[in-house]
Amino acid sequence: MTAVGNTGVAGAFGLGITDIFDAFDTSKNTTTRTLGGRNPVNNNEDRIALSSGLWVNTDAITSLRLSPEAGSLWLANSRFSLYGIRKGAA
Amino acid sequence: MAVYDPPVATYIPLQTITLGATTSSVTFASIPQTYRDLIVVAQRRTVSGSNSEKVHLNGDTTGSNYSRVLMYGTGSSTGSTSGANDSTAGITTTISQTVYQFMDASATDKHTTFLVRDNNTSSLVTAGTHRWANTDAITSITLLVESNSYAAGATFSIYGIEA
Repeated sequence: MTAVGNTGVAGAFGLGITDIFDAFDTSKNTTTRTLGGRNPVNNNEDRIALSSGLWVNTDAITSLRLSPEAGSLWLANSRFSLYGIRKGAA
Repeated sequence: MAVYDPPVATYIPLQTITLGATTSSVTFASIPQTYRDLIVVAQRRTVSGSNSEKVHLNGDTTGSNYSRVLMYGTGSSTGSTSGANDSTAGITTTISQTVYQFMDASATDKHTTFLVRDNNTSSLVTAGTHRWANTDAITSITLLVESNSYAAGATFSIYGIEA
């Protein structure tokens, strides 16, 4: 998944990529890895982060929802794309 | 409700450049506007010394038009820096590999942003987010190593992700 959202400086959108591992595997909890950030060069708002995530649930993923912090909205021209990696032969 | 229809391929190989001699810069030109994202994979080293790699889009060589936030680790120390700068990676005499991911490369509604993951076994590992303060679609990408040259044998590949 790639995501591009606004930083508050016109035209300067943040960016990030999240990898979701074994998204349809029901034998383990779901884990993620994200690299993203923003660099508007404004008011010390520059950020970069590499993070891992865990959803403590073994269900296969059937839907994803991305939302900004409470009270915020994604701005127009924000873009979100979802890609899949086909699994190889067993 | 839309039915998810998996794409047949994600990364479309567009061009690979292999250097036959020492070269100061590499340019992917006439990039088609039919791709949403662009991926550049570089494997290269300098002939001697260490310098920063720079990325210039559409021939824009003004460093202050580019900004970055990056974090790095050397194996013994870590750090982070940000600000206006067109440097993206550190190049040494040890071959290193870097992946660039340009977001919304053909879009004209936002500044161009790109992620950089740089891996150099002799010096450091870096991750960075970069922004080109320009809403033009990317038509060319130039990589150069500051005050230095790439050694022969370096490879640079570009891939497109379809819109």
